[in-house]
Amino acid sequence: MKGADRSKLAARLAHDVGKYVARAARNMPPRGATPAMVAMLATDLYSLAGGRRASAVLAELAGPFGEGDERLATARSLLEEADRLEDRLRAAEPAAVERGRAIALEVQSLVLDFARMVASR
Amino acid sequence: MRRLLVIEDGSEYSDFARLYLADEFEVTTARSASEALRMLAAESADAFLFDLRFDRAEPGTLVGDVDATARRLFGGDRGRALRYLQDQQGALILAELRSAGHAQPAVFVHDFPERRLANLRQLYGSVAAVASFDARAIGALLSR
Amino acid sequence: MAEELWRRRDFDAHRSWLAVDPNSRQGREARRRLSRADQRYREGVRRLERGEPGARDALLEGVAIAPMDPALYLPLARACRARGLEVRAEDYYKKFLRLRPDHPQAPAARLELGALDPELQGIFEPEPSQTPAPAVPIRPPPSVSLVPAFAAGAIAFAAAVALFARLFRRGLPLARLAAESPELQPSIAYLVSSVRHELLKHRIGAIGDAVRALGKGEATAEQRAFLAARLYGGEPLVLAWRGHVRAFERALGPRLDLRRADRGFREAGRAIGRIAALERALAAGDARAAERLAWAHRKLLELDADLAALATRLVRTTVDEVLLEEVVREVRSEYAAGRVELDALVIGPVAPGVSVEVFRFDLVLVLKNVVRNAILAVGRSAPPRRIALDVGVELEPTGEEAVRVRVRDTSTEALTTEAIYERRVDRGLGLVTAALTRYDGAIEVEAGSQGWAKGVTVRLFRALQSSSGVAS
Repeated sequence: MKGADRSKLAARLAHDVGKYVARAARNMPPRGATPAMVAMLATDLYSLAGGRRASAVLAELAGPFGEGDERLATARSLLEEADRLEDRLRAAEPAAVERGRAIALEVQSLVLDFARMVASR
Repeated sequence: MRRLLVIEDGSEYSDFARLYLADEFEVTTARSASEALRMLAAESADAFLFDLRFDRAEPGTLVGDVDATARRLFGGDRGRALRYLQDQQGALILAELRSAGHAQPAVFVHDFPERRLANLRQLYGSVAAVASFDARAIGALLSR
Repeated sequence: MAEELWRRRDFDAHRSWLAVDPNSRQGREARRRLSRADQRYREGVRRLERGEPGARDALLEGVAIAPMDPALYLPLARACRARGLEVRAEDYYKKFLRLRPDHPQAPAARLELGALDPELQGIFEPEPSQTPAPAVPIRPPPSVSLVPAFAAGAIAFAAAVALFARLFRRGLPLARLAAESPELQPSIAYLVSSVRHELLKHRIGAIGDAVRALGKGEATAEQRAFLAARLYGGEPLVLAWRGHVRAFERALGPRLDLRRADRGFREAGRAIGRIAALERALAAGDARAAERLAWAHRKLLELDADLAALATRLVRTTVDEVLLEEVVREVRSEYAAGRVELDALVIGPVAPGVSVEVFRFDLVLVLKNVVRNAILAVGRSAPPRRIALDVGVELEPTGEEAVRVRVRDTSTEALTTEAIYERRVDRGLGLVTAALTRYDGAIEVEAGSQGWAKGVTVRLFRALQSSSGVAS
């Protein structure tokens, strides 16, 4: 992949995953989220634009960068964990919501950090 | 209650605004420049919340001339020009609204370079941006 | 035999021709033909580089006379690559690297070949123990019994001197190599980014809080564990560091001397060694070890800051009078463009403080083609023969800015934007489109005004970086 393509793909990753995955997480309280907030968190994690899971969007956009980057590998693994939490999170189980929120914030940070690195190359 | 017009190609912004800005704003949504202009003609808004990238919009609804953009900026490559118009559509819709005399504060959720934000202000007056969906920051900017 | 190799189009035939005894009639004839052929080959390569007609004919003339000097495989490869003939370019790169693995340009050639086809990366790296293919004919050694003792002594002395000189000769630090070899800048930017993000940021930058807390004796158990994991977990830091240094050396060649000539790398290497030696003392809670760690950490952060500044300098090019003057100077030093008598060549006005995210090497290449085309075109037209270069900035409705570098001339020759993009222009201008596409740029022919017949404008987006560093 050429540098310019990498840069564009990374910018898309920052936008499609980095910007939207923590839309709810950034604003909801650590505990005591309302059902609407939990529903939005579930949308961010399991139904991003186009109705796709954040894990699937990440896999698609991060795929061309290979397996070598530690941040992307961590983000992948965190979103897989979020996928396993889905039923409990949708049922608003507090521990699952809290973990889902933390995952969303961490994934945002990792993805934006990766995009910054590519942009600086 | 004050009215917020959200301009986007999906529903992420309006869902967000209805959840986190509902105390301050009544939220309506337009999905293109022409729809926004129609809605504003029927009822004004106090502020605009803009998505920048419109990659789900029908090409025919986009502001901007694909051929002219292709010729001037992309060596005649219409594909790249179309992607560019999609990627920058929010700013181009803002230009349309300003041309039609709608000078309300406009907020983008986008990590603009400082200079670009200054340019947008020079072109379109009251324009602000936040890098992520931070409800408190967005609410404060819309209320300025 | 030499003639036979050439007839079979053996790409190493040149060496066999040179091996023919120069004192023999055949040897003299071989050298005379090599020299004649060389002129034709060079002319062909030159024409190909500039996109001028007649390149093929000149090369064929050379082929009909004698084999080609392998050194020419590299410019030939580059010219083919620039014209989009990537398969042929790949072939010539391979030939060049097989025959001239130690050529000063070989590291750059390896990178360029790798960029054409990533699967070929590393294939043409010379093995440390491998004896490079000789570039000159190998003569059988004279019988040892015939070598007088004093000659053997002299040879041994010369070898010792050469070895001594080699051991103590210093190469260049990274920043200077980047400044002196613009063609290496894209590779340097990539390598710098790798070491910064894979090592300096994630293993060194990330432990800043923990190092500070440790220095004050306030580190929590969690911070100690984090620090130990980043510094001593996974791949040993020393090996990771060596891996990056070797990557620089392999890719950039023997002119680079990170270990001795580059102060930042030299001190960082010491800092890495010191960190590696501190593992036990840190685990035991030794206060002096914390101080030493703080020193090493600071040294590595200094290197990171220097590399960040270097990377920014490399990837961004300021479009100013200095750049335009360099372009004009280089074009005017060429044979054809230098012979055109100009009535005026004006540089300016140039918008101040404008930069683009294009490697300087690429931007100079693009602008040289535009300027060369303009000069040659006015040379073919009636006087007055004038050229003007200027740089402006256009504010786009999106808030972005387009940098416009314009070259105007008084030539009445027809030129259209379409002809450039469709590569109907056989003057090198077609070459720039591929480079511009890589950088989201464009080239456009504009109608002339105020005494100018036409203007060729190169447009590129102005470099604007978001606060987070992600391009918008």
